Amino acid sequence: MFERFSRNARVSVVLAQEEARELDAEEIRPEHLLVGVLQSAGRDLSSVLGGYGVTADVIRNRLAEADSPGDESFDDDADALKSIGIDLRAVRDSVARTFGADAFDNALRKSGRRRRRRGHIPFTKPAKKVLELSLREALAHKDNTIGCEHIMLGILRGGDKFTLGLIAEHVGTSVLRGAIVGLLDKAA
Amino acid sequence: MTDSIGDVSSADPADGLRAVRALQRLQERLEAVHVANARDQGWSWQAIAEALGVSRQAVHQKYNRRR
Repeated sequence: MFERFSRNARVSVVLAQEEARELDAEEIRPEHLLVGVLQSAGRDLSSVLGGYGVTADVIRNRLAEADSPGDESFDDDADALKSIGIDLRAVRDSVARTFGADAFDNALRKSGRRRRRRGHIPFTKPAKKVLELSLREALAHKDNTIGCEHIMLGILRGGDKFTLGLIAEHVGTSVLRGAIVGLLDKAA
Repeated sequence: MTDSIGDVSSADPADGLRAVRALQRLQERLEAVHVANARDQGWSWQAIAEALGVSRQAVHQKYNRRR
């Protein structure tokens, strides 16, 4: 289906994959597509999105925050393990004594575990849906190629809660949708 | 420190399952640490697999990033 994508739209999908990889995600999710679109959007779309404060940097920072629950889950796990008689802090200290201070925290990262996805990272179902909807948005607007605007509309219509939440921190999704449709109508 | 050890038989499934999940995470971390250490010390994938009681392919696929 990518043959109908504009150059920018193709770039956005590639960048979405890069973003997923960088965040150590197993799959490309709608929020990665959002970052990809924000990084590759043309001037008009960028200025609409930027006008609402939706920029690649802002969203990427939010994703990085959301992605590092490290210490938080450590505390939760420590509590849970205590109930079955395991002292997680003692385990971590003992690993640190033998293998270095960060060995425990970095264990899953450094070993190259789950690093098989150097090549192709699969799309999640909601991400696929976004791409399908972007095609449908293009058809609905009688546009021959699928651009970043259509992917953006696909993201909005796709209804992935997490991604819509990221956008809604800055602008109502229906307002944004209206603004993007306005762009497309103007271009037509 | 382990005064609540009696909870191991807690009747609330939420508590028990949470502990099991945490234990899985701990197991994954420890496994990663020790597999990396074994490789650093020159152990073969075969030897590591035998020590862990799994197939050589399983260990190799999970941990080897140079292929």
